Amino acid sequence: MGELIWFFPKTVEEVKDIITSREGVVPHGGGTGLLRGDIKRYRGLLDLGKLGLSYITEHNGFVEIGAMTTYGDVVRYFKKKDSKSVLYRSLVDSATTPLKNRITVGGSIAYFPPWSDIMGSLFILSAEVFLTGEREGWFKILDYVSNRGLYRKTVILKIRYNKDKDTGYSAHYRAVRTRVDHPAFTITLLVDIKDKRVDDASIYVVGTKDKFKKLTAVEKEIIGKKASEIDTEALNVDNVEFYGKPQFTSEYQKALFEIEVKRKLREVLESVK
Amino acid sequence: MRGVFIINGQRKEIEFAPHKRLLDVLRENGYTEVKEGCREGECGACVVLLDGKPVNSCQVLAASVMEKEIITVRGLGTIHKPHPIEEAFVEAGAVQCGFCTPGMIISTYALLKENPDPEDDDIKRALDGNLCRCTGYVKITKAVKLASKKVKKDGK
Amino acid sequence: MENREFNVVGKSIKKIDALALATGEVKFTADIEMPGMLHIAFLYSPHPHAEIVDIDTEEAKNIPGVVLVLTYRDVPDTLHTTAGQGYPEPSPYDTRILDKRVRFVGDRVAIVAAETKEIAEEALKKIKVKYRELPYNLDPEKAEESEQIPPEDAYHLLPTVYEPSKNLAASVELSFGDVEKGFSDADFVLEERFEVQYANHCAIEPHAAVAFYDERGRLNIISTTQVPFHVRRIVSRVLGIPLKNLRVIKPRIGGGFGGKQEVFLEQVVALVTYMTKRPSKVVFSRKEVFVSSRTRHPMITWYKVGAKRDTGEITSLYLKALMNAGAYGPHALTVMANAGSKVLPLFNKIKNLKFEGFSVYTNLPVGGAYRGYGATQGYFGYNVMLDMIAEKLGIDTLEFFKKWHIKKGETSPIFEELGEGKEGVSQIIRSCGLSECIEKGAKAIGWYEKRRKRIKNGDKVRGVGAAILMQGSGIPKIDMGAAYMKMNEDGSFNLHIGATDIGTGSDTILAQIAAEEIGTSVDKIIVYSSDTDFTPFDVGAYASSTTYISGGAVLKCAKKIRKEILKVAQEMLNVPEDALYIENGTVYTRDGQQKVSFQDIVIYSLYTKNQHQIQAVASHIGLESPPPFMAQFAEIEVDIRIGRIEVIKFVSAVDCGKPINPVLVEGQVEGATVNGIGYALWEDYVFDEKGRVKNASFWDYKIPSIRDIPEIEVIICETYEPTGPHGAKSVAEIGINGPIPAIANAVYDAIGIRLTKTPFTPERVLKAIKSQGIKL
Repeated sequence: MGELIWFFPKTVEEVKDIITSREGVVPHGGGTGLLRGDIKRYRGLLDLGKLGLSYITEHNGFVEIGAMTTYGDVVRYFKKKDSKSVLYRSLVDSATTPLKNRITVGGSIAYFPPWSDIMGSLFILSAEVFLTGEREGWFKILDYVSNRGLYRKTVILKIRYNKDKDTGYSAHYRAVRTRVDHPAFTITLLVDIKDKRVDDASIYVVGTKDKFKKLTAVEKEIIGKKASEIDTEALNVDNVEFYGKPQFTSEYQKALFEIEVKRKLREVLESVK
Repeated sequence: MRGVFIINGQRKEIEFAPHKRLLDVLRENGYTEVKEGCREGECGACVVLLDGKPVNSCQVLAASVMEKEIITVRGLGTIHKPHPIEEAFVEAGAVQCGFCTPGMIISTYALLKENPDPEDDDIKRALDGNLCRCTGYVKITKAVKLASKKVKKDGK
Repeated sequence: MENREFNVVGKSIKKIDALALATGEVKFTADIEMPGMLHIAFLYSPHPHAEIVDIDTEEAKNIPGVVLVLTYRDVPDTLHTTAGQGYPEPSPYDTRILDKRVRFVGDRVAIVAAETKEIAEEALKKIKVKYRELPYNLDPEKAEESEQIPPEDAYHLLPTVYEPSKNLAASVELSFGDVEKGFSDADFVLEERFEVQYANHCAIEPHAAVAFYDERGRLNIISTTQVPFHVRRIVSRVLGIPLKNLRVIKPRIGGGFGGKQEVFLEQVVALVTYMTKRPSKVVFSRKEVFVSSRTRHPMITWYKVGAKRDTGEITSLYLKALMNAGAYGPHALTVMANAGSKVLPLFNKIKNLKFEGFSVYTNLPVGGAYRGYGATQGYFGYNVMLDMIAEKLGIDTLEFFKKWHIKKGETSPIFEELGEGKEGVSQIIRSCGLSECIEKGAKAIGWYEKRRKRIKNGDKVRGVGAAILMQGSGIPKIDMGAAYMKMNEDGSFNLHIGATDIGTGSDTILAQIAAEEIGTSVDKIIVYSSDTDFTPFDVGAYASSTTYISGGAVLKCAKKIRKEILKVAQEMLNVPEDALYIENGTVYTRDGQQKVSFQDIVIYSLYTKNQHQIQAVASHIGLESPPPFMAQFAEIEVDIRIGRIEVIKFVSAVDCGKPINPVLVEGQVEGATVNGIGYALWEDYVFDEKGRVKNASFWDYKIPSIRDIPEIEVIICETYEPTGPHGAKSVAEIGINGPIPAIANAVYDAIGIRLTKTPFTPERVLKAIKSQGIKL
């Protein structure tokens, strides 16, 4: 076993060259995901720290976030700018303060563990990731997570989403034991209201047997309805299955999910009034 | 590999293996005030400031933070010239076994830099990554409030 | 002794080591590095029960940097107990440093010492072991008929029940009156089964030990221990090294809670250093702390209680306790016995009572001492049963508590009958503030406004519950502590104590006790503790003993040195002794005519006339073990749809006699309370079918964070314990015992569901709601 080699590229071209030409080299963002496994199994680490990828900008109607932006950066940015943002709501309770300062947005998309707090909101926002490597350019986040071909030998450099996607009422639920815990699953939802009616709704659960699921049945049932007339308890919730986890059994997760999705939805609809 | 780290204001050139965590590099070079409690980013005993922000040094690969500024609790004060936060922890009775204390103090320092007048909820969020088994956190919360007063008075 | 005005005692003096700790100056055990130091790693059994058929270490030994690979063939095979208790230990001798048979997943198979920890860990992978798997058992209720777990030659030093072939690690029986008659005399009889789980101490500092030879060729051990003197004795015996050649030092310790009252690393570093003549060090990983150190003993208790409807008198009480000792038996007898002895005297007017306790071996991680020490396990069922009886009687639980709990001037036959490995010691309660604790705690929690109100907020229902408790102060007629003092030229004093400050603040408390008695201030007392070469003996930090026992020694020692000071002053001032008094470091004549400072006294004694060192030494054993008392109250909210319990507020009202240092008292109670809440709600070991711990990390074993704690209030209800130093009793353990029953009783108050198994996870609560049916 050879020694681990570090690469510190200063340009995107170098990143592309290293990731496409070397075997066993993986990108390094904050390192928290990599350190959950055995670091010695990699031949090389491609550090993204010298590329200026730690930023959040808004232009042309898009919010763009550099891959090296940490959860802590995101929370601090939106706390000032827009604490109603679904991204803020999803990340404010995720991980601890010191971990938040190390977990990067790009790293957590590439890693996508079942306890991810960020993915639901990115799905809702129809975010896109910008890749370099064997595939280049903007890709839809849903394509990225379901197509292993996009994952292999690529590096996420940035993500973006249309600001218009983040104008509704949002909520994020974490199925946890204590307040400082990784969730068994999360529910993220965003509801757009026009004239007191649900104009659009997007609800995702992350941490299911299929990794994540869009709750289309619930969305369909509420879209077009007057917010005040929706009886959340009477909703037919999509069938979602969970694996048993150290936090909770599969049966309990299912029961919890069905209750909490209704509760969160009610909380959002009530905030409309 | 070899790299420079700016630790408590001093440039240090250190030889280290490429898979080493910042925690190990610090401890192996005499910064044993950075404690190891779990090595999984959960307990916070190893929290240091990295470019001014608290991080779990066990969750940081050392190679990725070369040339960066690292501050440990000994970079804030010493027994002869303690930092007001350290004094506040002593006065409030927030130090029992003291093993979590260096991490707690670093987290408090970062909090007060950002928010000199923290409410209870701000304190709980800022210290959510630091586990303590001795105090039940009651005196620690008191210490942070006392530290807030002291820091403002001292202008630190 | 009597209550009086104090100058130093009762004041919240800053902890004397706090600033050194806060500034990071202090070296803990794991921080010690020495040139040429070897690092030690363990190979652990992957099987719950197996015999090592073959073990090949050749390849591991050949790795560059590997210095030593030890198997059971290479180490002394002395049977011992790892329990750091007084001698003869009331725990079975059933453990070897390494054995041919391994008894749980996580038991030791081999030891590697190498130039670095990484090399040692690499070498572990190269050790080839052939196992013959043996039948195993994880269920304490099936222990008797299962394959024998302890070694065939395991034995007990004490004449107590020990039947290794039946996997019976210990049993006790206590009975008086006629229990059956008592039940038939009762108007109603209630029965319930309770169960508490495995848990870990989770001191943030993992266990560690260092050994090295000093310049005179004596073997020194520095370790994370609560019991340095027991370490010296046990290591000497296990390794056959003369005790005089060993020195054990306890540096600052990052929390103990009982987990460091065990001697399982010190003999290993000592052995490696003995064999290699090089310094060695072992530091446990968090996973090793969870799996291969020690745990809270899980326990099942069955309570049967009969009572009279008119008077509320409990006519009969039967308690059976079945404790899971795990694969070895440290504290197997005493923790189990404490489930009775620290619990049952609380309602001392029960005339018919029977307690039967059993400790059994299973192929699971090893139990040990843990704050509360059996009382935690016993008090769950006890307080729930009392709540049930009060309800049945139609009276307020607190009135029921107050009417029947033991009072000042009273006794219980249990004190005499049940001790630690032998009979107990009879005692009369000389101080008891429990009724005041109940009243003040009730007020703080808002008992009378909230009880039986079942305040609803959507799906959430609130309730309040209470529990009453006692513990002890040291083990009477067994635990001993000693102190030595000498006086310096500036009027300062060196206080040398064997007592072991593990973060509790005992160094500070003991300095306060000394300063008060001498008539000086704490900053004049230089404390040095826990070093087998330089401090006198002390049993160590356990059984809530330090303030009471070691404090008693310090008080005696201070009295003696005070006398010595006065003697010299008398000589200097030429007056009779009773003409003198001490105030703030100066000796005055009562007529106000003359005075002499401590400084002048020492200068005189060292240099002027009748030259001698003003010094004193004293030992102390507790003849009694006066219990501290506590009433704990929980206000909780249950989300009835998902079963989640949220503790809103928690009140602990404590009688610890005279609080030597109120802030440190509060700190002990707050820490114990939060630890108890964690045990009640979240903390648990998850095992697979082979007894592997599946959640051996803080990632999946959740202890309370700062965001998980409710509003916490501690009320000190001061009394004065005449047998304690300056009126003090103990306080460190008691607060961990009440959260489980207080929360359980609060849940019943809220939703009418009796919880009988911990932790009260949302899943378990929801299941109880569904099976018992909610009564709102």
